[in-house]
Amino acid sequence: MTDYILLIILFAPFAGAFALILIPEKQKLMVRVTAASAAGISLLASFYLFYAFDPVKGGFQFVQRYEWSKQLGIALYLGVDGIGTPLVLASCILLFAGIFVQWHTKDRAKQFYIWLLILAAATIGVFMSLDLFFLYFFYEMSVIPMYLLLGMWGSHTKTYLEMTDSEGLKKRDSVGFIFNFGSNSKEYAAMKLVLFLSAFAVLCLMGILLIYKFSGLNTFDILILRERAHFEGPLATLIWLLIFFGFASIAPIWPLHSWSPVGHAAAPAATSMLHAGVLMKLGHFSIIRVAFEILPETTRELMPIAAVLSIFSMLYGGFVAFYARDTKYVIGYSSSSHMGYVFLGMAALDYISLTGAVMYMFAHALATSMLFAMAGWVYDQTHTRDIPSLGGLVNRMPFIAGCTIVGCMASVGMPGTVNFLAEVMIIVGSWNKYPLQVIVAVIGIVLTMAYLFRMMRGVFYGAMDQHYAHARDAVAFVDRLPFVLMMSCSIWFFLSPGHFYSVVRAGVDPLVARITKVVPVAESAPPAGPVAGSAHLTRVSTEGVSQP
Amino acid sequence: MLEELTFHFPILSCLLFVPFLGAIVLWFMDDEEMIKAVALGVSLLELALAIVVLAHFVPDSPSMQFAERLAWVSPLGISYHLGVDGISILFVGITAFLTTLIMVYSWDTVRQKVRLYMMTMLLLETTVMGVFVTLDLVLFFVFWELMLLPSYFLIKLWGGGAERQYAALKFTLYTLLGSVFMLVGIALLDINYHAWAVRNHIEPTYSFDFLDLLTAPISVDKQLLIFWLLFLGFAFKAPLFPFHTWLPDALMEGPIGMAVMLAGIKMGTYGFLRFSLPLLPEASKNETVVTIMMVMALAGILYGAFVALIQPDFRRLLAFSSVSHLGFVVLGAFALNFQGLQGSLLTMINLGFSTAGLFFVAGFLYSRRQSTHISSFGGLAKQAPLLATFLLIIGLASIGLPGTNGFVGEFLILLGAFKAKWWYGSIAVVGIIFGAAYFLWYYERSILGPLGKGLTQAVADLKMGELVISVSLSIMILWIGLYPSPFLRMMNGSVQALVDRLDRGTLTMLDATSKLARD
Repeated sequence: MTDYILLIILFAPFAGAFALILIPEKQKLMVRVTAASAAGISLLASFYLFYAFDPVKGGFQFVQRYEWSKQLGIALYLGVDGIGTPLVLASCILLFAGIFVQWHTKDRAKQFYIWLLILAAATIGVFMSLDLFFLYFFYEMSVIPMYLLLGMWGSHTKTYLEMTDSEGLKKRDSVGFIFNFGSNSKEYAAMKLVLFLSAFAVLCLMGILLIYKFSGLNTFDILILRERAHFEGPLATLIWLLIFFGFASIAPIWPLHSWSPVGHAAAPAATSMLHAGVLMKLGHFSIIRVAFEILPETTRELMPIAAVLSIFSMLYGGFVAFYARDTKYVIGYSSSSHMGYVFLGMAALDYISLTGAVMYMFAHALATSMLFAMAGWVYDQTHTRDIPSLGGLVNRMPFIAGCTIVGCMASVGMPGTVNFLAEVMIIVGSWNKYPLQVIVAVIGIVLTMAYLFRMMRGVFYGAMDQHYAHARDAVAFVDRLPFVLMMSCSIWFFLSPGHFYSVVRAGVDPLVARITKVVPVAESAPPAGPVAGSAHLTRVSTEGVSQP
Repeated sequence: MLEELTFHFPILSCLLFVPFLGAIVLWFMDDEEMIKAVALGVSLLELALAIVVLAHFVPDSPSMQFAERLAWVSPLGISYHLGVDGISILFVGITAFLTTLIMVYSWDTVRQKVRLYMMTMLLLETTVMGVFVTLDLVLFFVFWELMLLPSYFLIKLWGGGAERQYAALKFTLYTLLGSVFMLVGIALLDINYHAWAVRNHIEPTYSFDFLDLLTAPISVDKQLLIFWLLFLGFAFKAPLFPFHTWLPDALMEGPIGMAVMLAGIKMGTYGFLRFSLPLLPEASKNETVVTIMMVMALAGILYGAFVALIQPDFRRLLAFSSVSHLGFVVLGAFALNFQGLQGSLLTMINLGFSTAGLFFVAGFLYSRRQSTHISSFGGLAKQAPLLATFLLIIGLASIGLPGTNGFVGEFLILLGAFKAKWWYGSIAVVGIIFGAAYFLWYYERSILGPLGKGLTQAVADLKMGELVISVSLSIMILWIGLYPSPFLRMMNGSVQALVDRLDRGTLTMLDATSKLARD
């Protein structure tokens, strides 16, 4: 049972999607319950996975391997380390919450849930893959469901479809449509997202194929490649750049971010949650899994690129979010701004900062999803996302307003949420290497506070338009469940971060040791008896760099 | 000499003649319903035979299986020699599969000259099957040419477009032009064999047998000449860019059944893998040849994708998308390594499910609105959700979404191309992006969004027969996408033998001792 835990987490959503195909559309409750129970199985299993992961043992655990093609060296090779485990958990939490957030979807709910389950399963697959082929397989697989979720269930301004050019042709019938920047339609958002991501996915594919070709090992197995493959000179640089920018586009790093806020804005709430919560983390995770593991020397040389770009990410995203009028644009740009923190934590290549980056990915997933769920609820009730026209909703929906406050606090990184810990670790860990970036990051926190509080005030306080007098609060159990789940996770991991921290450290330690060839401070210190909390550090000193 | 395995029953001859006999039986029938039923029955019988062949095929083996040989014109060394190996076996399956689906599709859609249509379709099946199971080059050529007759009449008599006469003639003339050169190439192969056989006192002195021709060494100059002669035949048929101009016309004007056959069964590129590469290994390896073929492949990929992007008509879009996909097939074939060749073969089969499947869907759209132009549609997802779903599944397979067959084939091709010359591969990947763009853009405009202005009355969702077609295609798409190894294993042996042959050249024989590079 424990051996198959990864298969259960990965295939429960797929099985749920398949079961949904067989259930008739009319049985609405049945459709929702099936989707929720598939996600529930994954959620329970991933909590089990998280607490069953042994940080002392480290390495890759719960490994499963099934040959797919021996001749090509491809296997369905699943396993999680300390970096993958929390992200798998985050995906499952968000999938489960997302299904309840969309509980009242009326338009083709069955198909919506099918694609949502496939999307989540694909992201979970990336976090588990130890084989480059399947990593790419799941990565690509997560892009196409986004197209449908946006294109069919998204929202946009109605006038767009009637827009014509000077010759009287409909704008969406001309090729320029694809490159039509600045438009606000869901079709445009879906198209842009898919083309952008598949274009950059192709860069990753090239990088992966170059690794396969020039390693000469005839395998896609990441563990074998990281031990035996050696790349040097311009080739290593080329591969690293392909991998880095290919995956960083989904993260999204400035200046490759433009698809992301547009996509957030058009997407239905649950899709935005998964998109901002875990889809974007596929980028960071894959960079860590592929570039950090296989090309450690090149990573050490070139990772400053990420440190430089992260400045722009943090500042640009923050300022745009400050001036945006649309709730989802504010949250979308805030997400791209916050992804800069993760890049900073990764770029510093320090034990504390990388641990902070991984924890931040998890924390940000919960915080930003709360905000997107809020924006979705407000949109469902008022049919607008325009902040100036909203206001005073706190009297109509006190529960949602309360959740938003918690979500904003978490996003800002207030103590009381796990974001605080993660942010502090990134800042502390990066200070020695990148003081400028740390200062920018702190300014970014202030900016975050400014735009989130501005949004909160605009939506919930001030005078209320009587137009929205009919707006309802989330009262029913199913409506409150996702908010409560996400909030309690965020607070729980702040209150008891011990296991979380040691799990992440178990993944980060061997990686950073390999890249920087600097061992944790605790190693050089003389063993002064058992010190609480340093168990993982002494472990590194004994087992060191080597990995199974 | 390649090892030949025989079967206790002349099953390939049955495959060849069952549709032919079926066509003759139809000749004596009058009742239309009866004719349709018998035609469907014959194609189902053929499919059953093909499944028996696939089930009894020994995987991982390079040998020619189910071999049958009868002397035909002995003085000239022409024999009735049938056999399938890993390269041709899957084509037998896909031909029978697609013909059955065409029969299902034609049940309601063909209203004029039903008897003649069914007969022509069965004759077409015989000739196509003949191309894949013959091992004698003259016999191969006979079927290759005979195929034009039913094709010509299918486009001319049952085509939907106003320009069908022109399209039929253009198709026939172009293909004939190419095959004349191919005939010269075949003759040169025979002459070369004759000279060698006489010198070495080998009987028979004349032979068009593929296996005999493999034994005779050929000088590189002669190989190059023959390569280009055969190339013309295959390139017009495939059709490779820039020999593709007949394809959009034939696909637009012809009936859906014909379009499915033309787009789904890749005979031209099969010819390269079956004859050009093993018979002329030095020429195929030649630097210039490889460069020209690769450039042509890349030009086809990019050109097809660009042009497909701006097509407002679904069938024209599909025509150019198949030019683009064929570029991938050629790219994989001329990577000349195991992965590339295997990917190329698998992609040819995949296109039989995805591109041909999209033509079926185009047929569904056509039968509802008498057009596949974008202006006739819009927002179909609301009215016809099943149609929208299956169009999406098959379309995603043609884009190459992971989990569908398209991904496996494309990935293998790119892997092979990267192993051979990685910069070719890196240009080809651009085609993947455009592939996503042109399909999703059409899908977005015709299926998603609000209802189209032109849609005055409701569009019906899929009917029973159409559902059967869509479901069976989707099953195959997902099967190959998720668990391709049964299909890959069938090819393994022959592909490995082909790679060995390319490595060692004509001086060494293709033999059964070539080992699989497994483990």
